[in-house]
Amino acid sequence: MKSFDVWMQAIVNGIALGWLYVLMAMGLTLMLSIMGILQLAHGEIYMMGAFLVYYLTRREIGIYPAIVVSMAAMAVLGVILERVLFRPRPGRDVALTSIVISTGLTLILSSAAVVGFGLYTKSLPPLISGSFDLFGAGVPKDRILAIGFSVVALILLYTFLKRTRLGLAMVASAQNREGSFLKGINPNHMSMAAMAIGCALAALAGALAGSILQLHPYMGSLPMINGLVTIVLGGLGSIPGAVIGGMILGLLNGILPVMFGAAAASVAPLVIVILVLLFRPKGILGHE
Amino acid sequence: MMSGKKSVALLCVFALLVSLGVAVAACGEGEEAATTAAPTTATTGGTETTTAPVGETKTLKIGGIMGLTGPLSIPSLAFMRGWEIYADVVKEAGGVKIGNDTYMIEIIEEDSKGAAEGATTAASKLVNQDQVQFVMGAMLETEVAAIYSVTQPAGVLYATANINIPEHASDVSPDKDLFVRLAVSPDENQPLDLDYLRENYPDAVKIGVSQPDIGYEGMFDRLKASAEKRGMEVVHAEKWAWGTTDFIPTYTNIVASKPDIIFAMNSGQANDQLKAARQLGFTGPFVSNSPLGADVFLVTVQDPTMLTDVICNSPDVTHPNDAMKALMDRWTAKWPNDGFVSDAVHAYDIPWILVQAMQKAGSTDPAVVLATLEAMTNRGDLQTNEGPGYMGGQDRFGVNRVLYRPFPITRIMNGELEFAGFFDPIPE
Amino acid sequence: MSETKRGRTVAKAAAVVVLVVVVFLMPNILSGNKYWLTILTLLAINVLLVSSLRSVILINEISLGHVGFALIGAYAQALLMMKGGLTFWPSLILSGLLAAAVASLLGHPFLKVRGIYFSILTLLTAETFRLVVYYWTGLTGGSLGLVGVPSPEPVTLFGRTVEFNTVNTYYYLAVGVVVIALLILYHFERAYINFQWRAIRDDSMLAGALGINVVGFKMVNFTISAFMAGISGGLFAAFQHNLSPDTTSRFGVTMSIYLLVYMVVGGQTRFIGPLIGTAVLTLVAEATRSIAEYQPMVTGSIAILVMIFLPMGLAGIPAQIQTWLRKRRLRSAEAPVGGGTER
Repeated sequence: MKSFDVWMQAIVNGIALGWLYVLMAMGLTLMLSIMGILQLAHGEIYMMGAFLVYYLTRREIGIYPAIVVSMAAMAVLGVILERVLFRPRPGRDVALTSIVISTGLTLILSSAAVVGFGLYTKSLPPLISGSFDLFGAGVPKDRILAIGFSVVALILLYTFLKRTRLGLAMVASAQNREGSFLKGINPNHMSMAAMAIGCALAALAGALAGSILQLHPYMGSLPMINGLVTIVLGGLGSIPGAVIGGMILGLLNGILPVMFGAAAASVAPLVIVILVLLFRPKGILGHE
Repeated sequence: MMSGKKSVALLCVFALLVSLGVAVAACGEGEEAATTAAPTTATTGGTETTTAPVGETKTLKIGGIMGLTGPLSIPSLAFMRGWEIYADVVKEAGGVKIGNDTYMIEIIEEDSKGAAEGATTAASKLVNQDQVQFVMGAMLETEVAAIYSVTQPAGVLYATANINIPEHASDVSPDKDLFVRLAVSPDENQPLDLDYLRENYPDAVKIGVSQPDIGYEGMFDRLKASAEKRGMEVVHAEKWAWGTTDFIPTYTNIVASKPDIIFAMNSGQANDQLKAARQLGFTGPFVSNSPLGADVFLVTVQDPTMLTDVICNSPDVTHPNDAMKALMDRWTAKWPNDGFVSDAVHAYDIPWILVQAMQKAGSTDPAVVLATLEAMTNRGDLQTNEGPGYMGGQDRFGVNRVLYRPFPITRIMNGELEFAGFFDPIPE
Repeated sequence: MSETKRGRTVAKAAAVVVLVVVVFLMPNILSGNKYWLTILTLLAINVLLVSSLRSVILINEISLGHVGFALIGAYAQALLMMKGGLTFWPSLILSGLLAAAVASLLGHPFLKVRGIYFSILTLLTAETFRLVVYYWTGLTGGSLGLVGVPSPEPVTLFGRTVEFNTVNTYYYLAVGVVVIALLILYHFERAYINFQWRAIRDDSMLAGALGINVVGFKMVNFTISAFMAGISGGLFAAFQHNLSPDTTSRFGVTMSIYLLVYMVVGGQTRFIGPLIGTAVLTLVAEATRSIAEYQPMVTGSIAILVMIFLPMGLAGIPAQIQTWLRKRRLRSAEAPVGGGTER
């Protein structure tokens, strides 16, 4: 039987991982529900955001201002990408086209990162070091901090979506694209906002992960997949769904390796998600 | 609403950007191609003007395969730079003398994409298009097997740059012809590290082991046996899934088993593992027996309290020997914007050793070179950047086709490197 | 009208014949260059895999899990030959059937899941298969791979023994199997059943109301598609001689997505699309091999540019030129014609 400390550490780590998935998932779910696109290069936005933070901190900018600048820069990049690449064109299958365009973008960005960011190992400065005593179990402080950042970002996003005109329009557009169009909501503006918010959140996730884990040109592919799994688990277009999905996936990935070893930890989350999808074909909180 | 013209203009800008990107990439490559091609042109120029008295100047083409795209691209690119530096060194020395002829070395680099089929096409291109007689490289067992299946029927000598699991089906064996491993067995340094621990941490006896789940069982058994022989004990062994990025779960169990020592078996992610172990409160000696550079620990872990009592088997770039110093200077001159990556040290050894065998054989025939190499079994028969090397492995693999050379031991204390020296492998 | 239609059919048939002849004479054209034959053999195997993926598109779903069926086929082929003692051909058929059996078991629950959920579901399933192979080390050799898959046994034809242990001969075998498989897929697409599939695609509810067994047709389609993916896996195993379930291998998620890219760049609305897309992207990748780590940028740019400028993919270029020409002619004939609004 595992001790209380081990459980504590596994759970806290799982929650931290889960919040990173939620950050990735928020962008993906906004883009998918508002624009109908599957943005597979979201992981590369995450990676670029993290590397931008690295280069900014090298220029004597503190890590927190650097994260904010990086989020803003990625939001701008998101708007440009929406305008140039992802705006729907007539006569195309939106979902397939977006998969191909974003895969092309993935290839270009990850290759550019390998070539451009150099071979020597890079690392972000630690957010905070040492560990924190939680009911007698040592828990890394940086993970607690990452949870804090993610929660604050999500609360801000939630407030924005529920309290502002633009946010409400986005929610309406996500729930019913045609209907909102008839109500005079410009779908292109909604798409731009979705991309901007999504990319900014990806940059935040990338910076947090780059600091507590590692910085690497291919760091984005796994979080992207986890983000996708999170949104289908929770239900497309639902913010509470994404949070629930992220927590489930995070806890599975945090606890299973500790309790049951590597093999079970790799296979079990996939099987669980598959089963959830088979019994709830629209995710846990999904609706028709 | 957006006008048609505007969107067309935007599209054009994007197409332009993309084309520009491609053009820049192609130009950059053009330059690179020019530099790598330089030895050849210089050679042909040389033959025309200075009619050498004995023999002639030729170009020896060696194929080099690494996964240049995909997750392993960063270490692979660093590895290839080691080869390029070797070609430069030969060029500056006016070639190497093999038999009666002087040879320039041209290394033809190909991408395996880190996968079997990519390695097959790369090897096939080298063997059939470029007609090379020697192929080196690859990091993964599956790539090694794929390359060997192309080179062996063509009569080409293949020197692998890495094997993660010694004695695996794709490793050297008596029934495989024209195949040699110019890379050490990753577990040969385990006894050396344990000796170092006994000497410097006599009270530490309980070891917690971390290993990837890709078949390290054989190496783990050797580690366990070596430990028991020295009065130490493995108290916990944890496997982590290949591709893991977060090591907190792995180390939660290891640290909970209260070991005196943590031994991270041959992993390029030992730096992340150290971070996890220290964050979970482990303060004892942490051993990494992979070639991962000690400097990488410093850059990535940063916190000096974590960077204490870390023992690693990396070439110490802060205390380079003469050979390594020369290599690092060349790197800095050639790629001033990129810090030195120590993978280049081992990479450089591979073509260098092949050429040493060719010089001794006086031939560039792959079968003769292999036979000569197999007979170079005395310490010092081969030179490497890490000191005197030799070919061995008869007792373990049934053939003397594995490189043996001294291992460096470096200890990190308070974020500073303390170089302990080079240690010869010991039979265990 | 019917004259031109017949003429077009004849032209099409002639083009197919020429293509098949060229493909079969390729080793002679290339004078036995093993490098190019290796590439073409792998290309043929991938064309089959992408075509099998396309038949799922016909039921209006995007599968991101076809590498999973290819993985089942490849490992079945390898294990049946290495441990089961079977010869090449029975193993190949069995590996296809095994993939099809798995697909038909999964099909019923899976096909109730739609859209993005289906895509992710198939992706996760393929990953699960890959991880099972990865961790079942006793059987599959795990991450380091299964080494030593044998070549097909020699065949005696007209008193001459043909060995399949080199790429020069294996090329014929692989291309032969792929051509037959493509003919079968084509037949299925053209057959009457196809009309019903299209009915499903256009409106499942309506098709269901008309009494067409929606799920049944989807099942048949999904199973055939998996069978073909399994066959392509089997062909790959006997060609490559070693298999590995690594993430970077052809059984990883990345490859799943690339297959989709091949298909859409070629043009998913046409049968020839997978062939064109796979061929163009593979050959461009080989032609730009020397730029090494920059190469993905070229592939990525092509994918993006095709998506922006060619709504029907590369296979749609002739049609697009035609409509463009017709539009110009119309415009010059009668000036005040509004811009052609394609929808």
